[in-house]
Amino acid sequence: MKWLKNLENIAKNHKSGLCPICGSKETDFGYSIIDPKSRMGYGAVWCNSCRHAFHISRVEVKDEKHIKEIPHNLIY
Amino acid sequence: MPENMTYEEWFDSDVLARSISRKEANTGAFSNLKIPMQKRYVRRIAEQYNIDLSGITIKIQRSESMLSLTMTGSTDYNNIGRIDLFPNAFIDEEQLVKTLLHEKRHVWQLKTYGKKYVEENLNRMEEGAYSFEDEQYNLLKKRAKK
Ligand SMILES: [Zn+2]
Repeated sequence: MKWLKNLENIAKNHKSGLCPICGSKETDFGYSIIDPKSRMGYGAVWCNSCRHAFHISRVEVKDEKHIKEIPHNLIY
Repeated sequence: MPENMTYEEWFDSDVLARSISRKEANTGAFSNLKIPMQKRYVRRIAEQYNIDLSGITIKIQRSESMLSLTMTGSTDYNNIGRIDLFPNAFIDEEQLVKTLLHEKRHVWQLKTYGKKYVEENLNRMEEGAYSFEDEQYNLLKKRAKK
């Protein structure tokens, strides 16, 4: 799994780290809630330079600050 | 080790489990997780709930730091059929079953609609996977073997 380090970084210090595809620092991550009651939703970690991304498929969204629109033209 | 098995399959296989006495419960940071983080348990619970895992490859990510990320699963968009399970999928039987159903639905979506369509319709795909896991869980729970 190419993006595991990035996920670990997010878990530890809320930073998505370097893109594992192109090495860029321009990465970001965010979540979107599907069920407001359970707060379950999905998320993504992506690179703004090369547009590659990792899809977080099933997650309880607790990180309020990172609920945001996930860009549409990403390459998963 | 049998020739037709990878090391991981062998490690997880019941043959090995019977041949060595190994503490199965999760330990350390993982001790709050009720389901042992082993493929044997994933397969056993899937069988109890009548969830077909044929054509699905499961990888368990055992990174401690992932506990705080609250994600339970992901589906590989390029290696279609691969599902990754994260520590929080092992909190209890319900979370594991729902995660398996959810990720299996994404595999089905990828096979049915193709990667491009799925990428462009993430919200709809997730709504579909969440409805699917809820419906199926309620149905399968009633019939689950104990
Ligand atoms: Zn990149």
